[in-house]
Amino acid sequence: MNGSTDDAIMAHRIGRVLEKSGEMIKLSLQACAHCALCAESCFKFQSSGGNPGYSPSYKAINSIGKIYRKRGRLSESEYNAISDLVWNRCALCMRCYCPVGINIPSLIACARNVCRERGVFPAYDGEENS
Amino acid sequence: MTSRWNPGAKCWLRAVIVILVSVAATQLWSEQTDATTSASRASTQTTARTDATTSASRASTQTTARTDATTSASRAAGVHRDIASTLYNVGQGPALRLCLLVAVLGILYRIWQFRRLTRVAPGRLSAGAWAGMAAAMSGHGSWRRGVIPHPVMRTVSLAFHILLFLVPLLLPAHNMILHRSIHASLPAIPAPLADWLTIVLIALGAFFLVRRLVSPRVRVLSTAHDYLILLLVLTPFVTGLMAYHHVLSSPWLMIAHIASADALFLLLPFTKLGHMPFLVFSRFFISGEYAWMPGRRAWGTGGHAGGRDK
Repeated sequence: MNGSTDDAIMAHRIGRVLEKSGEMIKLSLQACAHCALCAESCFKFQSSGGNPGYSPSYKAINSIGKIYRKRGRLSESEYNAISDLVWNRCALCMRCYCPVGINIPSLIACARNVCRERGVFPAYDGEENS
Repeated sequence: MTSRWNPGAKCWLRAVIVILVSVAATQLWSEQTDATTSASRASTQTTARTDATTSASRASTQTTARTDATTSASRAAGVHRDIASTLYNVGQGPALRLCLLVAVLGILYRIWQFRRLTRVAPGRLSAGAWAGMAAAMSGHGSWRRGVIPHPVMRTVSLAFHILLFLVPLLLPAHNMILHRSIHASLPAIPAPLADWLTIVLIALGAFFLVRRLVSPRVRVLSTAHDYLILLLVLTPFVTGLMAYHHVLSSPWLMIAHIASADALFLLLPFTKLGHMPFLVFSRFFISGEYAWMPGRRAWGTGGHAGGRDK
């Protein structure tokens, strides 16, 4: 009973984040032409040796894109994969270049906010990491 | 999840409203056009119908000759000809007007949405953009500021997008039709030049397609939507080129040409083609280091750390 109440509260809070930025997320995802021209501007992509999983558009589409499409109703393992994308593969340095002008950092920041509400974030104080 | 939040339903409702308004407006428009230029339109339509009928009948004549003309075959050919002729006329008449109207209303809706999602960011960012522009113009900055860094992709992308607009607008055949129907036209380029530019455009489109299939970073992002949109964009050019060179003497080639162009207008504001209006909003009106104009706006709904809106 208690667990389901917590889940409901969490879902409500995630819904609030998505409601606040939902239209911007949707417009940005729709405008993304999947051209991958943003890849070169990401230092994480460069340092990974050109791993396609590090391109900014990949990170945005597979984090906030997934969350938005499923209204935040993702499994634990899916959230863990998203957590790796938005916390480990992106430093939010805001240097990514999009030819269409999509604000990729704010999309990743939204995904981080959802992850925070879901309790999926890196811990640096000796607690168990997500 | 709050129950009142259902962006999918809202989106469909808006799309239905846009289409209904467009249908009503198209009806009004066509009635007005009928009243003012009925004579010229009648002659144009007759010519078009005759063209379509002639080519359809030529095709049907060949078919009948091959299959020892029987009554049923000629009746079928007649029905086929009627359908082709109707589609041809509807496609370049009312359907085109409807699709253009949906495109215009859809883009107006996007402008309204963009204004709602952004806010005016006073002073600081705007000044920065002016400074950047001034630096670029005086030679202290690079002209490359804000354009695609990769030289090949920059050239290919720029050429593709410019030709995408220029070729159909400046094509002699299109301007003749335009002149016949609204008594106004744009300057036309010579037909052989248009022919070559179309071939260049198709080659550039093929480059995008191959890049999507071959480059891992693009392939990992690609969905069926991306491939279909690219093919749809190329369809009017391929069919137009084929019709110009009489590759297939079928009325359906021109119908495919017209229908794909109609579909492009119809889908422009609602699919990945929407990157076109989005680019204008974001690169011209949002301030930032990549802005092409000293925009004064910033995204205003995010409110999260990391966005330019903070």
